[in-house]
Amino acid sequence: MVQDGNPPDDNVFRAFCNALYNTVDAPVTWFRETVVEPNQKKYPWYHQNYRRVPTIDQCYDDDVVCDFEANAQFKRDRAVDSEILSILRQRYEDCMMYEQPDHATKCRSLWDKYKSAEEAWFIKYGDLGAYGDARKAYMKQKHRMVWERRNGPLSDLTK
Amino acid sequence: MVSWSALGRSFGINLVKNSLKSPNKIQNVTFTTAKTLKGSHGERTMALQPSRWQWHKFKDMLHFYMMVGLIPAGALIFYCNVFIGPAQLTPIPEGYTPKYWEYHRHPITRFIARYIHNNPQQDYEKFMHFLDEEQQRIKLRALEKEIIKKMAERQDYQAYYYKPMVNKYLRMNKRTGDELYNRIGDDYKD
Repeated sequence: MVQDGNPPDDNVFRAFCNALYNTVDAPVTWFRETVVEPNQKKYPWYHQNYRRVPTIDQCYDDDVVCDFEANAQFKRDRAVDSEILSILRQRYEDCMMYEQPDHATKCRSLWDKYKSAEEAWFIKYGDLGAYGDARKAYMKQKHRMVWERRNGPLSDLTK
Repeated sequence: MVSWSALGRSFGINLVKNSLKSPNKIQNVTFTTAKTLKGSHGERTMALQPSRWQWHKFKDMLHFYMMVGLIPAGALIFYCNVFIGPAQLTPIPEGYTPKYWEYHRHPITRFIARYIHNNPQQDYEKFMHFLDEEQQRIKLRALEKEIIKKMAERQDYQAYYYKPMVNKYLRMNKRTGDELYNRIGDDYKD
């Protein structure tokens, strides 16, 4: 929000607000641009790519090592899926903040996408409890499929 | 009760006030129970109040030991952020496996990951090896238990009564027995 000052702002109130903001912002920005940034070294960091390992349904039931690896992969996948859901939720919320009070109509597509993603997340990871691991999720899926075979589909996502 | 202590306090103050009728000056220094402001110009006053030395000493020590920690840590953090700076996120180049500390952004985190912590992949694989070894022991013990149960159930295997032998003690006993025979002979009556 720091002004470049190219066309000087006619609006007195806005200029005043900017001046007030800059009493704190300008020295900090000056310090960063003159002292900090020239002296910082440029070097890379990377995002770790984990190899895919066999999932819990591909492991023998007495194979502890396979179970441990599948569980670690399950936890990573759950973290990633939670972040994805969080991003979709943020998109809807930003739209809602911007479009208040018409957000029900203007942000409808974002809302629908978020809701279906949330439903999918809950089908896979929901209600597993504090010690939920890959095996419990697998059993949940099995029970759901058995229930659906007897009683018909639970939602559009599981047809 | 509150009222009694207030009575005691006012009693003490009244005693001092009664003895300090007028501004009490001894050798050009005014003794007063009033709160004094420390001004260099103005009358020299000696405040007749309980000592605040312990409070002042506490503050001194608190500030000193806090600064002993904060100033080196602050200097280190300032140096790391200004003269080294955080890393830039880049895609992994072809054919290069990054070292395990290169997955962190801040230089201090990278330092800790590199020199203090172990390689997480090494820890992961060591733990899996440990799990595998324990699993083998579990399987062996379960098998032994199963076999002994079956032998007890069917009573058809003599090894059920087998006790493992150590020959060391047999040899010692035999040697003792031979020595006794050499000394005494076989002194027995048929």
